[in-house]
Amino acid sequence: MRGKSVDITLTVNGQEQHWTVGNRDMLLHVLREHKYFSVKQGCDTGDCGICTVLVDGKPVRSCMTRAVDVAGKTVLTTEGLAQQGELHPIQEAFVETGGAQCGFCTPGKIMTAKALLDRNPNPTVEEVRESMSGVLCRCTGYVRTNDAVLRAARKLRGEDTGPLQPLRFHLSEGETVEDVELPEPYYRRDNALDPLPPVVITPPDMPETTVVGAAETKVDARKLVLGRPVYAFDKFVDGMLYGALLTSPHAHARILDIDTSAAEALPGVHAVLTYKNVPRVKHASGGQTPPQPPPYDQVMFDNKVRHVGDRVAAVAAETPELAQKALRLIKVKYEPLPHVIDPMEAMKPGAPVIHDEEDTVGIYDAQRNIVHHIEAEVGDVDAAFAEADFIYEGEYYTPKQQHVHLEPHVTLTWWDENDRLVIYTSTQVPFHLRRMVAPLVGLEPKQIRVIKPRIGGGFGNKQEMILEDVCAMLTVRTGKPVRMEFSRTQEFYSTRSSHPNIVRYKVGVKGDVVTAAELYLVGDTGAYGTHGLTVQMVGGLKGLSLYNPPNARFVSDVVYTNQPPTGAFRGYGATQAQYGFEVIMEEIAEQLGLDVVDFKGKNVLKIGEPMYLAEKLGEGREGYPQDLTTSGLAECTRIGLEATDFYAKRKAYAKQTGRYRKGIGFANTMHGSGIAGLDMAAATIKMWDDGTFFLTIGATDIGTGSDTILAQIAAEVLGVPLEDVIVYSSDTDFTPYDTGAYASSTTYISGGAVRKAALKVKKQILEFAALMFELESPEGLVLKDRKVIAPDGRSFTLWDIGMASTHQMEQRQIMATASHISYVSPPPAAASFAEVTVDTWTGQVTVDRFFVAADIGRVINPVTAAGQVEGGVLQAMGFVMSEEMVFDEKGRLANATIRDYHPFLVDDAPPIDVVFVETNEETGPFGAKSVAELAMDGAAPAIVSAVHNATGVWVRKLPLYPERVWRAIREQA
Amino acid sequence: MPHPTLTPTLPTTETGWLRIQGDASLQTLVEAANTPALLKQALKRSFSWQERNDMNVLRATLSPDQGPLWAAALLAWDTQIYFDSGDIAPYGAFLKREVKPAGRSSGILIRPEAEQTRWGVAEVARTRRDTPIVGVVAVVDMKGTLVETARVALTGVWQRTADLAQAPAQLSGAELSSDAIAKVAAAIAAEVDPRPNFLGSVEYRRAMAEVLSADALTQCMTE
Repeated sequence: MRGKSVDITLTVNGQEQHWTVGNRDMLLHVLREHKYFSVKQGCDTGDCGICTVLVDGKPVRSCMTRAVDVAGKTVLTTEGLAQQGELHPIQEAFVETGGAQCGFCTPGKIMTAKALLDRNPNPTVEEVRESMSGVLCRCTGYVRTNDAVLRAARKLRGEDTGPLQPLRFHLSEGETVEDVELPEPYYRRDNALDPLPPVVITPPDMPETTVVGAAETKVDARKLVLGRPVYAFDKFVDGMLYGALLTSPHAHARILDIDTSAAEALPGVHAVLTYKNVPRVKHASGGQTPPQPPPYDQVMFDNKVRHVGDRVAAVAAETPELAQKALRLIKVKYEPLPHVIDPMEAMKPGAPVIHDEEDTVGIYDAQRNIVHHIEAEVGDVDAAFAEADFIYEGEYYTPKQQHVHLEPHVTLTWWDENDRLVIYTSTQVPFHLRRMVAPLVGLEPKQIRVIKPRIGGGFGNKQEMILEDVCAMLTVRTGKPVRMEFSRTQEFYSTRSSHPNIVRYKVGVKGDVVTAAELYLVGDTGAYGTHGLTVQMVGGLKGLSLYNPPNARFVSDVVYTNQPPTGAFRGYGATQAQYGFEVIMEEIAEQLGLDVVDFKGKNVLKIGEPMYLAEKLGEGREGYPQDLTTSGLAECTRIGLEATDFYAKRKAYAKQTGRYRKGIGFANTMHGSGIAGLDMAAATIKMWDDGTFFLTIGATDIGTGSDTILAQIAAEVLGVPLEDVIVYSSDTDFTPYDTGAYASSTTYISGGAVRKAALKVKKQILEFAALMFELESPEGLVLKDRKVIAPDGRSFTLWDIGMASTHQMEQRQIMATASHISYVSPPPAAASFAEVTVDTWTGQVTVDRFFVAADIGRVINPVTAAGQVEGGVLQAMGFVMSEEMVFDEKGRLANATIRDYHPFLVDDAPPIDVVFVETNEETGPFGAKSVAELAMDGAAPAIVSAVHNATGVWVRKLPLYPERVWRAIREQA
Repeated sequence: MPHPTLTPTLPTTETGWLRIQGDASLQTLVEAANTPALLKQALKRSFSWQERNDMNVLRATLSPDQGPLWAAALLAWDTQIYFDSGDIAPYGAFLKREVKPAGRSSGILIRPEAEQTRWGVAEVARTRRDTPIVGVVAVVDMKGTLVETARVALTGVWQRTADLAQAPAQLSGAELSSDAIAKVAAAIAAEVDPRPNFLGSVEYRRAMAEVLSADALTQCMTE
């Protein structure tokens, strides 16, 4: 309680409440204390709006509203919307449209929509965008959430909405995508902002499916729209302590001494951890498959800090306020050291040495802060350059982007009744964590159980051990449950980000063929090397394979600086490198007078061709040979050219001379599907006696919809509707292993495991059914529509089979586990088109429209897949337009708030239209590849291309801050 | 949060100015019929719907960082702060501590919309909803075809969040022509004193002060 105690009476969700609150308590915290857990917190500054509730019918930020100020008023939270278990029409609409992805912002969105529709039952899309702009969403791209509000309005007006369905085109034999005529709205000739359903174009040879491919609603959608307490953020344990972290105010300093005596003496403080009292176990914090890529340059607490926000000490106390007070009592004697923020400066002789400790091994050149130096080459690059007709060079820069998942890092730890340590945490990698935490806290992995509840977004930042080791150690030391939660400021300073890259390409062209390419990447890994090696290797592979010259050289220096460490971020190096390659390809086409689409199309990786560097560049090791087996990229490009009227606009826009100029840009991109030869997933399917199924998977749904699409795969094989497959993920005790949610692996790798497990279960069902039919063999039996049908027409339902196999005859548990690994990583690909307006007098770029045509193999669920694309595009748009972690001369962030950092809000977002051109990737489950990271790759090159079309200038450094564009235009003039 | 009930029209003082209690929500102004259109636009541009509901007028006004364009609009609209002592102070002078009124600030007084008053808003930002890097609000009172007074407030070009430029005084008594606007805009650019940050250098901010002042004043020509 903050401030003086005050008794208030208010009405919450129709019920009168009499509460005692502090006069400085915020409504958000008071509501959550009273178990209204739908009310979420995403920032500390009132910037994100996800805590929105209605007070007397008006939407307010509950984090900025004092509880005493709502005395006598009525408060409505998401818990108050559904009646007798029936969803409110707004909740229904969010379910139907896929408007709830991770779901963490969903209650805030729903409540804002409620307020809007109460006032305006028939809002325009512009009114929806304006009204909803106070609530940040990081997953959806806002297409589906806007759709949900408009759909809810129709429902509330009594109009029949029907379920959201994609627009489907099944091509007949002999037809091509050129025979597809998209409806007029997809051309956006009227500049309308309306959300449109995704389009799915299916080639004639695609096998038919029933559940796979259907726009099923997410299996977790109901609990998300109801605002149920499903996140680690909502978890509290009786008797728990609150952990808190003291972090460094210095970018680089030695800790000469720490005096924790005052903190330890404070009543209610149970433990204080520093470098003095925790074991010095060297490790890397990235959640990656062992052997963990080096260097092992971290310890739980060190006597040196290497960035502002680095760990100094931790406490566990009986209240959060006490924990903060204890932190303030810790006296730290620092010796500030010279620091370096710029990676190029960090490599120079005489730069401050960031890792001068003797016990870190595996640093390539510690004196020059080069943690890794990577070289890989195929063909004879120098000879190819010598023989080239033209050689082009270009340098590009990409920013340090923060994930800004709305659920912060939250971890709880406790000892269970068997003296095993439970880690309940918001993570993408529960199995890696179990293995990684154990040695740091002096336990065997078998003594640890990691539970992953629903995750409120991750985007790579939860593929990392951020709080788990400290929280676990506090429980080990105190014997008590401990909860730790990061603030938004700590998310910026003390978690991870993308790697800012300097990207230098040298490309040799003979005629119109790219014959050689060299890529030099400088990757700024920040203070620690986690993911530094693998991100750059992926950048090298993806950045040199898209146009795949037979002579290719990749060189990279991964450099320490005194910035917060980088890590995994959706796109993982490919986004940065492909941005450079795409832009230089267009620069080359322009200089050679070639049509850029044709030039790229001629050189792009094609079916049957090997990715030359694939064997040299795995992730942290050598890779495996990879040939492209499927590609719909050419078809995607054709669709995009048509839907955007690309050539006509490009020609017209190139002639503009006025202040405001329009531009259209185009980019090819491709990604991968899991890490070849490394990612492994397993799935277990059990048949219950009622003929339904329980699917347990280690795969971690972080809002992507993976639980849903994996269940769809199982349902398809088992001949049942989706509702007959109950999914549980993930718990290291009870679900089989999975590497985790990263590397675009879940659909392809985890989906492969589910399909195999389902096939095994199907085989058992058919064998048992054969017994019931008294047949010698299951041959000829068909499993579909919840029953097994014999060739003679007899049938048993799955209920019959479940009952018989469990209780009645030759009893057995029908159940199977299967694992899946792939030695190929088939690339999904996309053609992206951006349309912009540039104010040439100010340099401001506005993205007016974005169109993506993507080949992700089979589209398992068009709504969740479209949500992935839309959300990825918008996250990437932030990378292009506004998002960059900027540091001052002392290594402090200049923009460590959501407001200053500025991810895109609803009203910032252009319409994003998605078309899927399916291909049948035979190595993927039902022909699927992947989608999540591909979506990140196209925005940067397409938007930069559009700006060039509008203005004639190339802006090679991202983000496209107005001043950068303005300067480029002035320099050209 | 104890905002008064929604007011369809804002009350006026004896002199015809609109009187807004400091504890009224910002949304009250958006919904009131007689709130000047410039202020409605500035509010919608500067604050989300939630912010307009949970933030009161005085907080948003006395903390210009909360909504720089809103502060600029108030400055350009010649807003005054009133105090429980009965004192009244010009908003700009109060922000700069050039006046020391007695008592506690209680609310704001704003001029009503008038036929002879024209206004324009121009800005540059990373995105539509982002805080402007540089923002300009111009308000011009006309007397016939001549400018009676012109006020141009800018954000992002001073040490303070928002302030009025002096140069627009040159327009008084003159016709609002493109040439006159260009001269005033150039004078504003010379007058401003920007602080650089990652979103804009001194040079850029100064250049934008000129471009956007001209834009905002040009809008006043056509309104």
